[in-house]
Amino acid sequence: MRWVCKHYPQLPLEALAPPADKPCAVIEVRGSRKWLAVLNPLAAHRGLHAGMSLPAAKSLVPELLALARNPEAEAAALSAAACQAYRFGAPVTVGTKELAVWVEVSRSISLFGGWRKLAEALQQPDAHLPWQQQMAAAPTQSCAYLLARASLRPRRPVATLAGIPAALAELPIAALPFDEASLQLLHGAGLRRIAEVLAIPAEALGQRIGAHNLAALQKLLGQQPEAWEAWLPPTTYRRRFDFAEPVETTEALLFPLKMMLGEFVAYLRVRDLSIQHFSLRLVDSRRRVVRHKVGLLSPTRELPRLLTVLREQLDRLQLEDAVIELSLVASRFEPAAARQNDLFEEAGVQVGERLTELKERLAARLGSSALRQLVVSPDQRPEQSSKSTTIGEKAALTVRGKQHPERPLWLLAQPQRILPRRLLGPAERIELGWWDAAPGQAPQRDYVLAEDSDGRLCWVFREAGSGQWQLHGLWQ
Amino acid sequence: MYAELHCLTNFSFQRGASHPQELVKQAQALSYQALAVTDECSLAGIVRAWEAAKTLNFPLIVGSEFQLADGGPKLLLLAPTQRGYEQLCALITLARRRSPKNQYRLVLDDLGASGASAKLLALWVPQWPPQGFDENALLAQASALRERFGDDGRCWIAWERHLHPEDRLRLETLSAIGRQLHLPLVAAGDVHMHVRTRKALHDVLSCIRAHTHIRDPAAPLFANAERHLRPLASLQKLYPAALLKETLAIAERCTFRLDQLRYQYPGEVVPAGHTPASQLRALTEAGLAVRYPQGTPDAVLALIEKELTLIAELKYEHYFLTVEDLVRYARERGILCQGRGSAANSAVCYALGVTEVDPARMNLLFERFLSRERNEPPDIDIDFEHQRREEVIQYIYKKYGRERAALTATVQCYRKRGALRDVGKALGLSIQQVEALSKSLAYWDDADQLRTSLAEQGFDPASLLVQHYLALVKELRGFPRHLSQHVGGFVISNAPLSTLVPVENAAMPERSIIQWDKDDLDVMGLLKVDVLALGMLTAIRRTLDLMGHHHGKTWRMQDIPAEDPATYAMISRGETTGVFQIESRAQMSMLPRLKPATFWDLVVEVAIVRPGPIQGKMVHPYLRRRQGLEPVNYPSAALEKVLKPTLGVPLFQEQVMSIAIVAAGFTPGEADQVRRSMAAWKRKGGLQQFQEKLKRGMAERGYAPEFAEQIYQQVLGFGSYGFPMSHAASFALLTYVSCWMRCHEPAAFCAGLLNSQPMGFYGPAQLVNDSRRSGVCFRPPDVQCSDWDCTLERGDDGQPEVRLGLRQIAGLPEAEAQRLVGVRMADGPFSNTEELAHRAQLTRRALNALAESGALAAISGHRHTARWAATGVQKLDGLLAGAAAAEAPLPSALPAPKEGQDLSADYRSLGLTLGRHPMALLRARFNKQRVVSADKLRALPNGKVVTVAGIVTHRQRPGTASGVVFATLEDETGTTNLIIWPKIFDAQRETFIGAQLLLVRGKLQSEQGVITVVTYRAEDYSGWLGGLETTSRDFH
Repeated sequence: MRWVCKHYPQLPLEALAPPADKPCAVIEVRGSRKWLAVLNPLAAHRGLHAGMSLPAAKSLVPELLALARNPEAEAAALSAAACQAYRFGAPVTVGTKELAVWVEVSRSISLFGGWRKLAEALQQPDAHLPWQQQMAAAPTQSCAYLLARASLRPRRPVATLAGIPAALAELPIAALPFDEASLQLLHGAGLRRIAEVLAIPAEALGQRIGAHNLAALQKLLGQQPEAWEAWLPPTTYRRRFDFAEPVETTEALLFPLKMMLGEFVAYLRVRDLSIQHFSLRLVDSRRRVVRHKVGLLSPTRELPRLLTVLREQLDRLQLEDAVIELSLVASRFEPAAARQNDLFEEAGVQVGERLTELKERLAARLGSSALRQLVVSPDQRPEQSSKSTTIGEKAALTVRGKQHPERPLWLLAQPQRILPRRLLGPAERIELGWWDAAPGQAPQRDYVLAEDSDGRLCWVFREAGSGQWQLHGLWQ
Repeated sequence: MYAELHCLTNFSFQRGASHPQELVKQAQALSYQALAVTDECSLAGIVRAWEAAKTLNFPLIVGSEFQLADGGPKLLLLAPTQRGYEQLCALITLARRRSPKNQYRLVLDDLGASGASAKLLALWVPQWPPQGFDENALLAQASALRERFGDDGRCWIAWERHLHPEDRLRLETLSAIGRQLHLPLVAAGDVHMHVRTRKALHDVLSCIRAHTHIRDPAAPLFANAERHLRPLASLQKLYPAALLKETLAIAERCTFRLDQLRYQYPGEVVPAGHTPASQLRALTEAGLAVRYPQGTPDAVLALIEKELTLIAELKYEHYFLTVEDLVRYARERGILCQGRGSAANSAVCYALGVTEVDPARMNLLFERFLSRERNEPPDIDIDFEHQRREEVIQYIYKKYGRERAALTATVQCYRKRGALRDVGKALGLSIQQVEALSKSLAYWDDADQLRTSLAEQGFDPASLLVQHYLALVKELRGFPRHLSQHVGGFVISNAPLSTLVPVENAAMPERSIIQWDKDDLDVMGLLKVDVLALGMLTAIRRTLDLMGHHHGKTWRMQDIPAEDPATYAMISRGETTGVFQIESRAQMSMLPRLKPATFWDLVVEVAIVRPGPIQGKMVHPYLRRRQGLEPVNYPSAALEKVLKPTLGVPLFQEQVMSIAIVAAGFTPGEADQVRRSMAAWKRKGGLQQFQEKLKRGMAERGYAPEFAEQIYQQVLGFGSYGFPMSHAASFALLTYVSCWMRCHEPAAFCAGLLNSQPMGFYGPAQLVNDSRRSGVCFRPPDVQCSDWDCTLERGDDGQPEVRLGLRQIAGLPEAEAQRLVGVRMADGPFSNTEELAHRAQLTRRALNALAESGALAAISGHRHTARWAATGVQKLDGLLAGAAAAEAPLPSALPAPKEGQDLSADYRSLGLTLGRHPMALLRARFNKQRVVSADKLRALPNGKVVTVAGIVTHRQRPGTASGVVFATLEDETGTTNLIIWPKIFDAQRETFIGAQLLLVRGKLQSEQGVITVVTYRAEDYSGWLGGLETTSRDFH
């Protein structure tokens, strides 16, 4: 008995922290086919089941929240699970495809006082990692995984390689680590239990299911060595969370944040570090990014304390727009017990900040709406030809060049009557914006370059059917 | 004093914002001297413009706008002469044919090449950036065109002024270029709309084209509405007089008018030494000799003479000869075909073998054939076997060449739904908002209802957005959005088509379409033959082949005995699964009431269950009279003659036309015009006038106003959906033949239908189950005896039994199956799977498909061992192929599949089972629920509440049944029809839509042999099927 496998069957859904009060399901997509992979109890209660096509499910439960799988979120969650597994042995290895974590425990059994105690500790629910898990122990990784997947309840550990066939005998062949085509082939030949497959001579079997699948079977039985890579915690921490539906309130941010902090704490424990500064990055539904730096008075890795601090900071946070994405980023860590730092002493920030930092800081002080910049718009209407936007509105900044005839930079907010001294040049007729006028009342203006009585170069217009000139802009 | 030389219509899709007719009318109203319609690389709108211009006697110039590829200039090409027009068509064809659908590519070199544009006039259209411009680039473009068009004064620089601040500078630049290159300047308008007020619609179109919305600052909108047909006074202010005058000089050079085009029928069909008339007469007479071996009846001869005279007068001989040629080709190749359509309604067509409707037996309405009043080409649709229509199409291409034969285009226009969606998106509404608005769709034509409905959907009907939205949708409706391929309308000409009309690629590879649709063809007098596909013709021909093979004698359609009582008895019992036209549920439920006993009754039956008669409320009066529940009477003696065959109830288009003639004093030509124009009037208005004329005419002749109103309603219904008698008769013939086959040769008929799939109302499983219930035996597919198609084998009792063909097996490619059959025929049967695989060179996929289907049973036992053997076949190369050592047997035998497992595999692989019906396996369990099997329902009293269960095979919601859903359940004894009222359906929607196996409690309706269950409540028992994959044909 060497490997313990923890399998997280609901992780694709759980990693997305979906609303508990709505039927939700994670969708798998292949080509144009979409089907339900994992669903929450509420969805199952409404008659949906895994494997059902999405249109069929939607016709049954129109309000079903269909979520795309998020491999990043699943990997992050598995990392946290791996962190936790480190407490019970080493090495640890992670299978993102299998949604499983393995830990080698042969040396820790006696440390925990026997298998029974270790198993209890392993099954202890972990408040930080609130995911459904299934567990089993066996001499090979794939056997442990197969058994973990096959049963909700933990079974007796398989102690020796010789015990593997008996442990697998009665399980359905679908549990075997074969590709779908091979499983169908075996099923088509009337085979149902793993024992029946094991009874077939290896040559006849290999000819049909292929060398790849046969090798998988031999690894399962310990007849071939398994390859695996030891998992090591990353040196910087970055966890992103995408909301299934835009979140409008800071309270709603707390639930996923709690989960993220739980994972973060597991990470800190494995690396035996604590944290004092990290940042939250929020992306709103207009894809604007808000960075929020979190500083603590002293380093910590206590979940309750982190939560308290964040809750306070979140309360002060004003959400301008619904949030669709939240990330937790930490790259500077402190030793487990570090000295207390002053919140206001921002180490690492130099006096000669660069412009972007200045803008950030100004925006932070004055509020992001107070800081504006001018951009050219391709809109041909003079009123819309340029606009001021908030800093960081990147989309608007990308519009450059000459999208319309030249416009004066200085436009009057309200056009004024004027009697131009001299008209210079031909008229430019502009008829746009009908959509903001009643049908048939679309504005039509002829703009002309003119000189006013003081000799200033100005831009005047006349509405259709009116002889009255109006001053709209100045060139100088 | 001005001719507009640059004008786009809405046939420059998503660019032009006015119909061609609107532009022509407006140009004339503004006293323009001429208008050039210059759609972008297209002449698709030119015929419509021409029609309008002809009525107004206004000069229309034909041209086209091109943006040359590879950074070339934008230019207009105008056709001054017919030769120029031909060059224009050829250039458009060239540019279109080498590009994917909806695109074109033309480069400078195409214009110079071997005089390809030697007769065309060119106007260079300079492109201006929003600010400033590159003089050298402009000069280079102008020089390039100068080189190709300038030497003999066929090149101009177009100055198009749309009130831009740099106008003065731009004109000066162009003038300088003109002086330098000796090119004259000319004024042009780049017109995109006929009036300024179309600007909003134009902006919307631009947004649709650019996939954006008007509030997007980068939306490609014109700054102003100057691109409309501007009044002369305005133009005089904007352009130097000389430039305006130059437009007239160009217009005067453009003397070509579309009516100079002379369409020439293909000459091949008239052999040397014959005139078209003599050839047609010769073929007709030869045909009559075959049709009437005992001598042609005088009435028919008289009709033939009358028809030939009319054909000669209208010069349509070529048309009939071309059709005859296609039909003869099909006959020679053994492809069944049948003509229909107005011109097929004739004795000549019967003689030529185009139709089978004997004029001696049917009373044909001559006016429906051709009419002098409307100078339109005749119209014949020919149905061919659907699996072999391609052969006929290839024959056309081969005989006339791809340059001379092409498919007609169909102009896809904006309808309500598309307009609602696209305008919504262009105005920046969200998908959800557009969807919500679409819900108000049904109320579109009722302003009050629409307002209420909009408000219910959360829109303020008074808001600017909704006002613009409604107005724009209204404008956009009817706008063309793209060209697509007509289902089968071929245009064939004597000269290359591209001298008449541009040809472009269709979406389907190897198909090309002309840029005109069928209305354009009518106007231009081009010949069109509709080559259509009909599945039942395939099934009949295949059944005839099977019968011939089995009985050892050739069977042709005319060998089917007429007026067979047993066939009519079967029809009267409503047992018509799989036959032509009368197989739908609505038809089946009508049959026991109508009890057809003669061919004429079938003709009526085919015509009666149609939207026309249903809308005209003629079905029930006819049924009552037929059943003797209501006296047969006639509104007048004159009408008795017209209505006698249908017991006084008008059922056919011809009758409705005759009523208009006899009772309301229409001329025959007028009556036919009414029928043809009905659809158009319904859309555009014009009905009022006709209604008054009809009612006045009938009142004058002493008919009651109620009767007049009834006739009016019938004409309305018939306009779009009614069957002409000849058409119904053609169809009824196929109906009769298929019914006779079903009655007397059920095995051959079912095999013929299976071999013609996919077609018709029923899938293979229902067809086979239906045949088995009527006693036909089926044998499973078997590699030792199955062909690709289903075949007949002699049973122990001598009766034919159906051997399912390898074609029923899912996932088995035809090529491999054919190879298998070939080597078996050549070298005898197979001894084991390994040998089969090697001899037939099967892929693993094919081998697995065979194992899955059970077709390997003869050589490798049950499915489990068959699959195991199939997957064990080794790939060996060269000499060793097929010499693999036999595999050692498994230590323990593989278990045999259970009945349910085999059943499941049958459905998966064949879509049907020859084992017990799934319901038979479940019968014991259903008995506990007191479920009544389908065959027992007949014995139960009407009105009894029953429980039925079965596999769902059909779900339908006919448009004419106001939301009622019809479904069909199948068990091992037969089928049960369900009626589900909307309220019940909505309450259990998921069950009704999702269930494969349904248990239903409801009230039995049993009237005149028609049995249905009116559903109260349903339960989904699909779980009992254990993953069995049944199929249902839903809502098609």
